[in-house]
Amino acid sequence: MKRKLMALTLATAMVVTLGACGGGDSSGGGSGESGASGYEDPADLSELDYEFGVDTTFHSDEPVSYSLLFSDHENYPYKEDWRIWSAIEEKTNVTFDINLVNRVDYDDKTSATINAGSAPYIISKAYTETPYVDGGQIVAISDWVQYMPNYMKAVEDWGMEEDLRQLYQSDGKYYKLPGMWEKAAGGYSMVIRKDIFDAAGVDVTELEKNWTWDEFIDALIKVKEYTGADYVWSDQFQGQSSISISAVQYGVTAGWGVGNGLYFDWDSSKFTFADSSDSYKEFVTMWNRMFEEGLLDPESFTQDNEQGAAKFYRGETYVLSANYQNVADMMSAERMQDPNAELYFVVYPGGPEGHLQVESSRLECGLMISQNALDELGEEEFVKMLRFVDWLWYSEEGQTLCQWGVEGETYELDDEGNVVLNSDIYYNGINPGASKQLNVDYGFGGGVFSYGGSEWLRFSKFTDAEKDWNERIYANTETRKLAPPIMADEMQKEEMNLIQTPLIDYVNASCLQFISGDLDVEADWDSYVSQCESKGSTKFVDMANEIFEDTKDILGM
Amino acid sequence: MLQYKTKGYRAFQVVNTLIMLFVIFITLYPIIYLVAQSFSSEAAVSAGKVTFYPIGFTTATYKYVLENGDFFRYYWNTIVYSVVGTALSVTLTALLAYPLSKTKLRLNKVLIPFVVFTMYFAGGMIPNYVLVTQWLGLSDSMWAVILPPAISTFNFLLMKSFFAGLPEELEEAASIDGMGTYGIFLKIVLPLSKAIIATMTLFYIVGMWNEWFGPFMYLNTPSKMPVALYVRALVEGANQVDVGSAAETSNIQSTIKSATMVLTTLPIVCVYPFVQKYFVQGMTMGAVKG
Repeated sequence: MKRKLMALTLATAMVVTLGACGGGDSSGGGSGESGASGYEDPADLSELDYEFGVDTTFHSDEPVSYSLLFSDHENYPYKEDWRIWSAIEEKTNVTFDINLVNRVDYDDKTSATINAGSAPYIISKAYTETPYVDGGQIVAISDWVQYMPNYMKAVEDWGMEEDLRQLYQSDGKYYKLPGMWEKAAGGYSMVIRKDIFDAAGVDVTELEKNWTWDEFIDALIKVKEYTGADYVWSDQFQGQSSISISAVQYGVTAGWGVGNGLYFDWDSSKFTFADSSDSYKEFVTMWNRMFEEGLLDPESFTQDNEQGAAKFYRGETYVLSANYQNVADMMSAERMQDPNAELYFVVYPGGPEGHLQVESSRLECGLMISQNALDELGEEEFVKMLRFVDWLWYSEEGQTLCQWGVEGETYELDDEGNVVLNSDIYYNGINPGASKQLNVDYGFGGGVFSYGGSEWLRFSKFTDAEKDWNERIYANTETRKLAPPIMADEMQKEEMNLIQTPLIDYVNASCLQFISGDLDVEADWDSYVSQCESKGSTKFVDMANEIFEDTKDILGM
Repeated sequence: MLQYKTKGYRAFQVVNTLIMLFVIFITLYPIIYLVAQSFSSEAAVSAGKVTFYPIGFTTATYKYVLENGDFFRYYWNTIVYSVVGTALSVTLTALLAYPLSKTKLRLNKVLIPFVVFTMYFAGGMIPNYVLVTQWLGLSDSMWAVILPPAISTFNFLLMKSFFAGLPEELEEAASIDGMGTYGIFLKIVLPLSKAIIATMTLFYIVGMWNEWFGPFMYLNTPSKMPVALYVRALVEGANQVDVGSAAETSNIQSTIKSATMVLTTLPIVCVYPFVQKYFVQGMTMGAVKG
C-alpha cells in the first residue's frame, strides 16, 4: 500500500511538473501582441510632462527613477558618487535604481530575474535576447521604436535596416535595442614583435596589405629559423580568437565564431553546412601545417590567457592574439621584458574567400526592456521612459555625455570639433600616466552606457595608433555581407538546438584534433564528414533553409 | 623498542618523511606562490618569473588595495554575514540534530529521510530565486544570504552522529535528578559537545566567508556585497573574454589580485590553529557512529 501511495504521489508530481514545463508559453508571448500599442501622443506635445526630440535634451518635469540591471566591470567598479549619475540627473531629471551584478555572473542574474518575472525595467549590456523571447517577459521593442526619434534617425541616416534584420525573431519582431555604430571597427587580430620580424627579413607592413594565412605561416617559418625558438606563437584565449578570425577567410566557422556552423551562399540564397565542406578541409590543413612546422605551441589550446601572454612578454614567443585594448595595456604597463621590443598590431591575413573584414557587424550588445516596465508604468509613462533611453543611448548629446563626460569639466572641444580629454585624465591609451581615469573615477566611457554612435564619436576615443590599425583594416580588407537570421519559432529552435549542440561539440573537438594531428586530414576526413551527417548536419541545413524560405518575405529578401 | 631501530623501520621513516614533505610542499606551494606574487612587481608577475619568492619586492600593491574604501566595506559585510550566519547555523543545526539523534522518537524515521533528501535534490536556481525574493520577500536583505544555507545537511548528519554517541546514562541520570529536556540539552549535552560545536563553527564560518552565490543572486545594492563577490569579479574577470568590437578585457594587475586574495584568506586561515584540537576530535568522534 505504502509503495502504491508513493508511486501515485511521484506520478502526480511528474505530471504536474511536465504540465508546467509544457504550458509555460501559453500565456507567455503576450508581449508581442500587447506591444503593438495604440498609444498616441497628445496633439499638443507641450501637454507632456517632459521634453524630447532629435535636437532636444530629454528632460522630465518631475524627478523620475528607473530600475536598471547594471553590469559591473572589475576594471572600473561601480561607485555611487560617479559624476555620470549627477550629470545624467542634471540634464534629464532622471535617476537610476541600480541592480548591480558582476559582469562575470551577469548572464545568470539576467536569466534569473527575467524568468522569475522580477527583472528591472532596463536590462543593459544584453548580448543575447533569444532565450527570453518566448517567455513574454521582455518587450517586443520593434513595436515601440517609432516613439524614439533619435533611434529612428540613426537607423535612417546610417542605413541600419539590413543590420537590424539580424535581430528578427520568428514573429518578425525584435526584442533588443542594439548599440548601433555608424561604421564597423575594432575586434581581434595578432600583435607581433616587429623588431624580430624585421631582423628575420619579414616586412610585415608590406606583407599585411594582401597576405594570406599560408603566407603568414611562411613568415613565421622565417622567424623560427632566425630565432631558433621552440615555438614562435603560444596563443592566449585557448586559440579561439585566431581560429575564429581565420575561419572567416575560408568561408567556414570555428573558435569563438563557430555559431551554428552554417554559411549563407548569396548566389543560391541557401544555407550550407560550412564545417564539413572542402573549404573547412583547407582550413584545418592550413592550421595543421602551422602545427607541423613547429610554429604553434600545442599548449595554446589549453593554457590560461596569462600563461600564453607571459611567454610573449618574456620574449620566448613573437606572436599573440589580442585586441587593441590588450596592445595598449602591454605598452602602457611596460609588460615587455625586452626594452627594445617593438610591438605591431597586424592586419589579419586573408584566405581563399579573399581578404575580408572580420568585424562586419555594426551592432553591439544592447538593451532589453522588461515587460514589468510596461505593466507597472502604463503606456504613457512607458513611452516616456523609452524617450529617455532614446536620448541617453541614441542621441549624439547623450552618447557624447556617456563617453566623454561634461564639456569643460572632463574634456574640451578644439577648433575643429575634436574631443580633447583633460590632461589629468587617462582613457584607453590617451594621456598615459595621468592621475585620474575617465571610467574609474567618473564613470564615463564605461561599457553599460557607452557603446554605439557615429564614426566621429567612435574614432574620437582611439589613440593615433588604434586609428592607424583601423585605417589599415579598412584599406586592406573588404567588408562582407551579413547572413540573414534563421527566424525559427520556439519548437523549431528547440529541434535545431537538439541537433546543433552535439554536432557543434563534435566539430569543435575534431577541429583541434585535425590541427594537432590526432586526426589525419587526409585519412580521417571522410569519416569526419559522415559523422557530421550522422549527427544531423544535413537535416539541420534543410531546416535552416526551410525556415529561411518561409520567412524571407518578412526579411524583404 | 628494539624493532624501532631496524634498518627497515629507518628506511620507512625516511621514505615516510620525504613523502610527507612532498605533500606539505604541494599543499603550501599555492599559498607561497600567492604571497610571493603579491609582493612582486607587476612586470615580473606578468612575465611569469615569480615562483617561490618575490621578485622586484614592493609593498605598493598592499598599500593600493588597503587604500580602497570599497574593499573594507565588503570586508565588513563578510564579517557580519559570517558571524551572524555562523551563530545562527550552529544553533539551528544543534537544535535539529539533537532531537533527531534520539532513536526512541519514532517520527525520526520519517523526518531524517526528509532532511537527507535535500542533500541530493534541490529545486534549481530560478525556483530558489522566486522563493527567496518573492515568497519570502528577502530580496536585497542580509537574511537572504544567511537563511537559505543556514542548515547544511552534511553538518547536520555529523552533529547528529556525535549526539547519538554521547552516553545515554548521563541524560538519564540528569532526568532522574529532575532536569527537563532543555536543561539536559543546555547543561549536559552542549558542554560535552565542544568539539563538534567548534568543528561546526569552523565549517560554517569558512562556508559563509567564501559564500558568493547567495549574495550574487539575492543582493542588488553594492554596499551590501561581501568580499567574496569582489574577489570573484577580480579573479574570474581575467578569464572572461567579451567578443565584440567594443570588448573590454580585464586589465586588473595580477599583483592586485594576489594581494586581495591574501588579505581575504588570511583571517580564516588564522582561525584554524585555534580550533585544530577540537577539529580532529569532532570529525572522528562523529564518524565512529556513522
